[in-house]
Amino acid sequence: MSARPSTTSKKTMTLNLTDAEMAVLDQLSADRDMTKTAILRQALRLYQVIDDRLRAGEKLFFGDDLDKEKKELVVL
Amino acid sequence: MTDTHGVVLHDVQSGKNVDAVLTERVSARYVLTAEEAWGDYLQAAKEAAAKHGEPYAEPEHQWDWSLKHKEARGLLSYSMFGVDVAGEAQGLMLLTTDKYFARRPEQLGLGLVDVTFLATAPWNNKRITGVQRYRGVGTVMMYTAAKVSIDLGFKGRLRLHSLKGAESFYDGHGMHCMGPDPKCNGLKYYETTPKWATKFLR
Repeated sequence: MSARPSTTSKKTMTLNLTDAEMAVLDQLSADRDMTKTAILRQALRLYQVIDDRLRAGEKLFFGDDLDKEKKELVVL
Repeated sequence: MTDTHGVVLHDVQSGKNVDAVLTERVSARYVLTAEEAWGDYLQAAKEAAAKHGEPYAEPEHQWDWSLKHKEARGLLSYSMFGVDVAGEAQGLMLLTTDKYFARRPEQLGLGLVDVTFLATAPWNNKRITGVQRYRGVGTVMMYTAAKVSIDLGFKGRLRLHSLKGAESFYDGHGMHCMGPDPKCNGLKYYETTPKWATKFLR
């Protein structure tokens, strides 16, 4: 089978991070068993979903299964 | 942005392989055309069965693909794929890439790709037609899902809830079944590992 979806036409960019930002990225990469590039690509996808919903007038909440409490997350 | 790739399906009647096209991030028109063709076929098959007094197996689900396409609205976390032969859609699949986490103990909590919806054209479904037109749509789609999982950094980890009639397909591909999921209408829950993906993609 010759299909290679999602693996073509990638662009390269240089990213400058502070030590603190890099430390967070290192930690997420280790915790999630993903490369740092994969973490940042996922962050972009999630950011897009959040941005799309907020632009549509929706709000973002964190919920708790136990006490059903919901806290609105304010995205600046 | 749409991207296309060459794949191969098996023409059951001629016994030969045929060239097909896998399209990533299909257009709304692509989905609508598929739905119209599939709906027309199902209606004709139903009428023919009634006319001849033959049994007719309704598909387990007739999903509204156009609505799903609209809801995905170009978001990167949702990828809709189509596979076609000479422009005729043979299958559709929707992947959700950032919403779920693994349940198997050895990969608990890690990210994976959810095969949210996967359907073959009704003329490729043995339960409806008796004889398939093309074989291999499901395998092409699962191959695609595994490749996407690897590309996104999930190392081939997938999850899905199988319709009753598709369980033997996933079992046949060695996907690990973790039993019925009460949170998903009792459908059986399947999850794969990087080791499975390496073997499957070989």
